[in-house]
Amino acid sequence: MMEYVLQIPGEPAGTWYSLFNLYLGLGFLVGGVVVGMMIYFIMKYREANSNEDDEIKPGVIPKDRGNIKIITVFFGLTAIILFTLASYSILVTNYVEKVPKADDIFEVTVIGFQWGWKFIYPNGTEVVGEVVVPKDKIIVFRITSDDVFHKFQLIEFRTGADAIPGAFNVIWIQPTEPGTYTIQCYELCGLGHSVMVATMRVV
Amino acid sequence: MKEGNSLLRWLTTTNHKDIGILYLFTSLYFLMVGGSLALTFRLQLAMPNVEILSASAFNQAITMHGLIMILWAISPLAFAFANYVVPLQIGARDLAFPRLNALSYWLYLFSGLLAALSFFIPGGAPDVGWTYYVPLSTGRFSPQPGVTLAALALAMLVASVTVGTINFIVTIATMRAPGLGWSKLPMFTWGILYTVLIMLFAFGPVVAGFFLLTVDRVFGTTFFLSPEGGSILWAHMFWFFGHPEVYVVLAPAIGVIGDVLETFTRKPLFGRKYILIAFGIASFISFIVYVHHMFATGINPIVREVMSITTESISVPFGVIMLSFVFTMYKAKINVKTPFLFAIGSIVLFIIGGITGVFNSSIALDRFIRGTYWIVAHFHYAMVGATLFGLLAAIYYWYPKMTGRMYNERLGKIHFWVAFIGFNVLYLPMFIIYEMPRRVNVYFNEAWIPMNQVATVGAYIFGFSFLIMVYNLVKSYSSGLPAGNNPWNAWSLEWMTTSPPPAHNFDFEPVINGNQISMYTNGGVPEPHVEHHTMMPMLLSISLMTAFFGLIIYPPVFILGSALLLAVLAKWIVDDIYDRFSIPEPKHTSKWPFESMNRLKFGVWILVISEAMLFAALFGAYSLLRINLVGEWPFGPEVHDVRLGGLNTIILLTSSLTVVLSIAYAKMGDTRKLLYSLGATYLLGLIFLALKGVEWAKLAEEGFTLTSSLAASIYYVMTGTHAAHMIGGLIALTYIIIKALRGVYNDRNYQGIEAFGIYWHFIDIIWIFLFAIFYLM
Amino acid sequence: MVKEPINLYIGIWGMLVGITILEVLMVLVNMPIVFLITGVLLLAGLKAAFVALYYQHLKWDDVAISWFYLMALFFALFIVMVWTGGSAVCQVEV
Repeated sequence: MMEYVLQIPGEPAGTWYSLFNLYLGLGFLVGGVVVGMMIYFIMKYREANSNEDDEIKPGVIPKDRGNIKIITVFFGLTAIILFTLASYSILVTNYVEKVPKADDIFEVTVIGFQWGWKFIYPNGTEVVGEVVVPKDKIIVFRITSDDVFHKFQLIEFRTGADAIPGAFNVIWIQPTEPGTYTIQCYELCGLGHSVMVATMRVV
Repeated sequence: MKEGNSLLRWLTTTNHKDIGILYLFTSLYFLMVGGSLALTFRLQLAMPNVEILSASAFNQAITMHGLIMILWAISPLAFAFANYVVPLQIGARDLAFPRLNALSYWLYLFSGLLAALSFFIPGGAPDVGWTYYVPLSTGRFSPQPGVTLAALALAMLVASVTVGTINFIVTIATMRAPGLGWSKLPMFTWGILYTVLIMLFAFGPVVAGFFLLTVDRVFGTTFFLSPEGGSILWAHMFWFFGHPEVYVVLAPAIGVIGDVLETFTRKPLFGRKYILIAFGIASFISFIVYVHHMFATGINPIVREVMSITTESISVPFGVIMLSFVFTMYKAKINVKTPFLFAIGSIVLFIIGGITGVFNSSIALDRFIRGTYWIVAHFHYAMVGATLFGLLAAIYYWYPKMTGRMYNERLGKIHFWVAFIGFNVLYLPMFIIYEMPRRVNVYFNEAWIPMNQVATVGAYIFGFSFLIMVYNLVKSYSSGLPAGNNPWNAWSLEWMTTSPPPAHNFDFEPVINGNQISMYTNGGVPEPHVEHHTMMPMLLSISLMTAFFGLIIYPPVFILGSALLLAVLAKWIVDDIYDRFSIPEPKHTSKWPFESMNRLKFGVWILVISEAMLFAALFGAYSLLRINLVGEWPFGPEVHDVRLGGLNTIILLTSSLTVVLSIAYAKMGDTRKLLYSLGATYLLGLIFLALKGVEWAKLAEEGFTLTSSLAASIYYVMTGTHAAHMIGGLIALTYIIIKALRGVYNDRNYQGIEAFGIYWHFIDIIWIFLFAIFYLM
Repeated sequence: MVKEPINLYIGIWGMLVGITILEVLMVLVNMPIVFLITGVLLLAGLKAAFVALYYQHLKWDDVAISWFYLMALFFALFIVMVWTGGSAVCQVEV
C-alpha cells in the first residue's frame, strides 16, 4: 500500500489521497481523543480511587443527569467536524465526477463480461484484457456490462464505477507516470470474479 | 406451566423466558455455523496459491456466512434478551401475544434450517453474495434452486420477524406497569423498541424485492433481467431495507450498553433524555441514507449527493450518544466486571467502525472504496465489534438472572481480552490492505498475503475465545456461586424478582410512584397469570419449511408439507373459536398515548403498517419501471376496461361499508343485521375476486400476460398480491362469521370484527391506488 | 349504548362511490395527461383519507396511531421519489 502512496500515477489518485488523508487524520484525532478520554475516566474513577457516591439504588429510577450545554458542545463539535469533511468531499466529488474540459480526450468504451474486460478504442479496434492509453491526456472510460453487474476498478488510480447492463457509467483519469496498472472487477459476478482482471499500459 | 425440563415443555412453551432461552441457544448455534464458514474461507485467503475451496464453494461460503450471521445469528441473539428481559423490565408477566411469540421462534429456527439445507441440494447453496445482486441472482445466471430456496427461507424469517415486531411494539406500548412512563424505561427496553420500530418499516421492501426476484426465477418475468428494471431496481429495493437493517442489528447493543454502564458506574446515564432523542433521530435518518450503497452506480448525482449529506449527518446523533456514554464515566464509581469490559470494548470498536463509516459517506472516496476490504473491515467493526461485544456484555450481565448462578469472573475477563485482541488482529489488517477486492478466493498481489495471514490467525484466536465463554457458562451453571436476586445492585425491575424469576415473573404487582418502584401486593394474591402450552407454532413452522422445500426440490414433499400446514391452521382456528388461548386484557397498565387501543386492534394496525411498506415498495417499483419505459408504457384505459374496474372498485368500497355496519350492529346487539352485513361483505369480496378473474382471463386472451411486457408483469404481480391479501381476509372473515353464528359478539365483545375491519379497509385503500395507477393512467 | 353513526358511514360510502364515478368520467373525457394523472392521484388520496379517517376510525382514535400511518405514507412517497429520480433514465451523463 505504501508504495502506491509514494508513487501517485496521476489524477484523480492524487486528489483522492488528499481527501482520504484528511478523513484519516481527523478520524485518528477524534478517535484518539474520545477513546483516550474514556480510558482516562475509567482509570481515574475506578471504585478504589473514586470518592463518588453510589447513585444507583435498587428499585429507584435514576434521576436525570447531564447538562444541555455539554450536550450542545457534543452536537456542535460533531457537526463542525462533519461539515468540514462534507464540504471538502463535495468539492472532490464534483471534481472526480465531472470530466475535465480538454480538446483531445481519449475515450475508450469498456464492456465487462463474465469474466473479463473488453476495450473498444476510438478507432473501433476491440481488445480483451489490455488497454493502452497515452500519458498526460484525459482518458475517459465509458463502462457497461454485457451480462451481470460488475465493477470496473482502476486500483492505483483510486477510481472506478459500476458496470451495469443496459447503462453507461463514465470515469476519467489523467495518467502522468508511464507503466502497467491493474484493472479488476470489484463486484461479485460469479465463479470467475476473482480472475476478472485486465491491465492498462500508459505510454 | 409445565415445570421440569422435558422435551415436551420446550416444544410447547409460550413463556417469554423459555422462548428467550430457545433463541439464545439457537442463535449461538447459527453463530457457530456462520463462524465455521468464516474460519474455512479465511484459511483459503491466507493461502491464495493453494486451492482449499473451489470458486463455487468459496462463493457459497461467503454468501451463507453473510446471510446466516446477519439474519439468523446476530439479530436473534439480541432477541433472546429482548424476549427474556423486556417483559421483566416493564413489569409485565409476558408479551402481549405469547402464542405468536412461540410462532416467531419456531419460524426462525426452521427458516434457518431451510436456508442451511441449501448446502445439500443439487447446485448447492446460493453463491451470489448476501446482497443477492441482479442479474447475477436471476434464473439466467444462477439457475441453481438453492438461490430460490434461500429466498423462501428469508421470506419465512421475515414472517417470524414481523410477528415479533407486532408483539414487542404492542407489549412495550400498552403493558408497562402503572406509573412506568416512557422516560422511566431502562435503556435496553428503549433499544429494543427502536429496533422493532425500524424493523417495522424496513422489512416490507426487501420482501417485495425477493418476491419479484422469485417471480422472475419461477415464472420468467424480467423485472431484474431488463435494463429498465434490473440492477438499479434491485439495488433500491434491497438497500432501502439493507441500511436500516444494520441499525436493527446495532440498536439492541446500544441499549445493553446503556443499562450496563449505569449498573457498573453507579451513576445515571449522562443526558439519558438526549441519548434517547438522538437515538430516535438516528433511527429515522437511517431510512434516508441508503443510496450511499449505490454511489458508484451513476444514478442521478443530486440523489447521491443529498444522501451523502444525510449519511454524514447520521454521525451527529451517534456522536452525541457515544460522548454521553463516555461522560457517564466521569466522576463515577466504576466496578470493572466482565459486562462492563465488554461494554467498553463495544464502545471502542463502535468508534472505529463509526469513524471508518464516515469515509464511506463521501462519494469521491466511496467510488473507490466500494467493493474493497475497507468496507469489509468497517462493517465488521460495527456489526461484530460494536454489536457482538454489546451482546456478549448482555450474556454475562443477565446470566446470573437467568440461571441463578454467577459465572467465573476471572474467566470472563480472560474471554474479553482474548476476544478483543483476536478481533483486532483479525480486522485491523483489512484496513491496512484496504484496496484489496472483497469476495475473491484468489488474488495476485503478493503484497496482500502477509496481512491476510495475520487476519486468519486473528480469526482463529477470536473463534477460540468463544470456547472460553462456553466453558465458563456451562461449568458455572452447576458450580457457580448462587447469585441471589440482584448481584449487581442494579435498579431495574428484572432485578427485583428471583433469579431465575418464577413463571409469572413477579410475586407482586409492580407500581411506580415518582421514581420509586413499589411492590404492591394485592392482599398477597398476584393477578392471575394464564399460561398456555401448544404444539401448533412448532408444527406450523416445520410444515411451512417442508412445503417450501418440496416446492423447490420435490413435489410430493410439497404436498405433504401443505397438507400438514392446512391441518395445523385448521386446528389453530378451531382453538381460537373455542377461545382456548385467550388471555385477559391486562387491567392496570400505562398505555399512553395508546389509551383507546386494545391489544388485538393495535396488533392488526402494526401488521397493516408492515404490509403498507411492502406495497409501498411495489408502488415504487411500478413508478421506476414506468418512468424508464415512458413512451412504451401502455395508457391504462386502452388496456383495461375502466368501467368494469370502476364497478369492481365500488363493489370493494361497499364491502368496507358493510364491515363498519357489522361493527355497529354488533355494538347495538343486533345479531341478525350483524350476520347479514358480514355475509354481504363476504359475498362482495367473492364477487370482486370473480370479476378480477374475468378481467385477467380477458387480458390474457388479448396477449396481456404475466410475461408479455413489464407493464403487464407489474400489473399481475400487484393485483395478484392484492388478491392474495383479500383471500387472507376472507379466510379471517370465515372465522369471524363462525364466531358470530355462535353468538359471541355483543356491545362488549366486538374487538375481533373491529380488528378485521382495520385490515379489510387497508386492503381497500391499496385497491384505491391500484385502480388509479393501472386503470386510469 | 352510544348511538352508532350509521348514517355517517352510509354518507361516506356515497362520497366514495361518487368520487369513483368522477374518476371514470375523467378518463372518458379526453384531458391532457398531466391533469389526468394529478387529478386521479388526488382523488385516490381523498378516497383513501375518507376510508382511513372514518372507516378505520382514525378520526376518533388515539392520534399516535395516525402517526404510524403518516410515517408509512412518508416512506412511500420517499420511495417513489427516490426510485424514480434515482433510476437509470434520470442518469446524468457527464
